[in-house]
Formats: sequence, structure tokens, C-alpha cells
Amino acid sequence: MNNPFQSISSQQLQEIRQQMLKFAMLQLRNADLAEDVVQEALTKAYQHAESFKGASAFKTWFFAILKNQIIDLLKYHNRTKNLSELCDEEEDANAFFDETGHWNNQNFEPQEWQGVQSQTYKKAFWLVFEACLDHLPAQQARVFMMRSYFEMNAEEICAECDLSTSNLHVLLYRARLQLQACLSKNWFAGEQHD
Amino acid sequence: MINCQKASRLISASYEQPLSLLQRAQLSFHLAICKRCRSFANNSDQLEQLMQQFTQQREGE
Repeated sequence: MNNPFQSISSQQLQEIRQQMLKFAMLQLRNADLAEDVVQEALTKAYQHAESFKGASAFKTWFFAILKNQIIDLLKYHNRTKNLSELCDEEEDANAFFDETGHWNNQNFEPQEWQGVQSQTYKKAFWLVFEACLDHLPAQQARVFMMRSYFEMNAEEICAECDLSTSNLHVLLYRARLQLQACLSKNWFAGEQHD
Repeated sequence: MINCQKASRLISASYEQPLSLLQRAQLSFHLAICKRCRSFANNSDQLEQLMQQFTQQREGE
């Protein structure tokens, strides 16, 4: 039998746990909930250790379990939580445009990112990337991660979050604007990162 | 003739569903004359890729 928990060190396990926590925080925006869901995922992983085939990387397997736990939690949350609480209206995207619908240069003027692929080798880049995800307003972050990370389709996301398709599109649009502005400002803005 | 706000909305929407013929025409006309929106469109593509890499990083290694 191939028990994955025997093949990794407690330090590795600790590292994975930290990563899972960070990831869960990004989704749930609540330290207690994140702590709980990671704990549940780990427990589940222990219980189902025999289902680990060794074909997938240990971490991949772990995250698959965590993903399912979070999806369940989000479903439960969205059913029970007061909708207005969940869908707190965020600052509008209009700050990016002036009254004539042109880019408002004071806030953000899109300039083409240069040499993106070479940045991805740098650890610091991903720290900034993650910080930008962290700074998204909660509702935007949630739908953006559901779509990009959990690879849920639009119908599923709308159903889970009780959103219309056009609401969903507006949220994703705002998330893209915010992320692009954040990365532009904090990474790509003319500085050389060597 | 659409403005930048509308154009950027269409760029984002194009990741969710195919644009109509009219929307595509409006967008490509706007992009032809607007450097900032071209940049926004290119960066949006990059962002999609970065997001995929971010996901893979998280899961793999």
C-alpha cells in the first residue's frame, strides 16, 4: 500500500498546510472558516489515504480534496448566508473611466506588459500577484476564483451565488480591471525587476 | 462607435461567451484606433495565462 503520509516529512506537510490555508483564505476571507476547511480536508485525506494512487503528485491530490471541501462550504454558505451580506456592493469600476467613458489616466492607463513570461520565474512576482488577488473585493474574488481556479462554468457559478449572467459578467469584468491595474501599478510600472 | 469603457467590457465578456458579429465589429474597429484598449486586451490575455500558471503552481510541483 502506498500511504502518502508516510512518504513526506512533517515539515513538508506543514508547508502544504500553510499553502492550503492561504488558498482557503483567498476564497473564504475568514480565518476561522479557512482553518476549519483545511483541517477537514486534511482529515479527509488521512481517512482516504488508500485512495491515493501515487499517480498524481501528493500536493495535487491534497488540493483536489481541499477544492471539493471549499466548494461544498461555499454552496452551504451561499444557501444559508444573508445574500446582502455576501453581495456587498463594491466600489464601482467607473473610477477607471471618466464621464465620457475614456480611460481615466489618473487611476489607470493600460500599457502593454513587457516580458511577462520572464517575470514568472521570479518568486517576488507571484507574491505581488497573490497580493493583488487578495486585494480584490470579496465578491469579485470569489467568482473570479470559482471561474479561473475551480473551473466552474458560468451556469454553476450563477446558481451557487444566485447571480444573473450579466451580474456575473460585471463582477468578472471588474475583477479583471482591478487585477490588471494592481499588477500594472505594483509590478510592471516601468521598473526593472532583476 | 463605442468608447473605451464599452470596449473593455466587450474584451472581458469575450472570455465568457462568443461576441456577436456586431460586437466583434465594434470592438475591432475601436481597437484599431485605441492603443490603450489594445494594451488592455493584450494584458487580459496575459492575465488569463498567469492565472492558469498560478493554479498549476498551487497544485503541482
